[in-house]
Amino acid sequence: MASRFVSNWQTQARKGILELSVLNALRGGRMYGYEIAKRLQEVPGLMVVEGTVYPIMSRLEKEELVTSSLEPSPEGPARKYYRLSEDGEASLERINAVWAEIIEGVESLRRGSE
Amino acid sequence: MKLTEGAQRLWEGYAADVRRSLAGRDDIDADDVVAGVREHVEAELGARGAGRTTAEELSDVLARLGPPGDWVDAGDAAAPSIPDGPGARADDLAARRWPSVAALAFTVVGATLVLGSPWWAPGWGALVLAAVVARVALEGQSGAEAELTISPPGPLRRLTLVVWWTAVLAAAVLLLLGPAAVTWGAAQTRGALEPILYGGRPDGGPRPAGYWRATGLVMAGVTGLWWLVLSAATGLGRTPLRRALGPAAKLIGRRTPVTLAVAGSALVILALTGGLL
Repeated sequence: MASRFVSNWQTQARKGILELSVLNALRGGRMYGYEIAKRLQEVPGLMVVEGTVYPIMSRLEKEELVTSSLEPSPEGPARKYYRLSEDGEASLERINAVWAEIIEGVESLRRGSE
Repeated sequence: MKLTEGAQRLWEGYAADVRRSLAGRDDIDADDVVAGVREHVEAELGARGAGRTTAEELSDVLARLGPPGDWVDAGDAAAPSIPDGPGARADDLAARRWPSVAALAFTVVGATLVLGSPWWAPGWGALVLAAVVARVALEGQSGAEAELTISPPGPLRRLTLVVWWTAVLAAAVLLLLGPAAVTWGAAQTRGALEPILYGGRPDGGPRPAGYWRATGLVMAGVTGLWWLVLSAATGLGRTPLRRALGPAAKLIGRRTPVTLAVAGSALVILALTGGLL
């Protein structure tokens, strides 16, 4: 029961964090989908299946938080590169501020009960 | 991607699964996702070198991509909602304003009542009123943006959504064709358009030859110019028009500004060339 609870909680927690993670990954500059998927795989605890990135990118693009461009690749077919839009950068700043608040708040709760 | 026959079938089945898992999702472009996944598979397989990929090799890659049904579940968070703060308050208030689609429609209907034939205006007025009432009812039930995405809706919400979307679509038609309707109304009214076209005519006399053709060309030109204005308004990203439309802003796609610009230019050219001939 407890392990199922923890497993469900992890799934729910990751749902919001994934978009935050994708947007933060793009702060460094343009990336293509495969790069983003591999980058997220390196994040401990995120445990995302690689395919999850693609619906997220589509949604972020429709929300105009990211823009995309097809660029030729020396290794094969053209690649779709993503970068943060102006709206995306502004939104990410606010999201990161909220995230920092949440972390601080939860940490203070955790410390207070130790 | 060079695939064996078995691998090709496997790929096609997987792509079909992707589309099925995204069916009905307005916020995600399934073609885009399939293209992205294909690119991902090509990048993975490219690292393995040349030669046809077997079903077993492809299966490894697809296993790491995961079942498409799981992706949408795993990543399907509500868009991060911004808490109270100056920017957040402005967004929230903008979304909660009465939609300008309805306000603009009221203006056009009002102008038509003043200038034009009154027999069809009450019908449009009723639809616009329905849009406003439905919007107020939806606002009363929940937050500003979530109203069109909460599922499953109960019977009352479904009815309200039907009324809302019918009225929004009707108001959108009015928004697009409003100037043409106003021009038509003006053409119906004695003395409104004729002084502009012909410098006036004797009271009670028959309309000059070519009057309705000229009216049609004026309607085309006015509509074309209006669509060029709408093209600029919808093309400018998060403009007041998009904010004021609220949930109805989803009707504006990426191609909308270009389509409006092309169609508007065509109508203006038609009006000018028709007038010269």
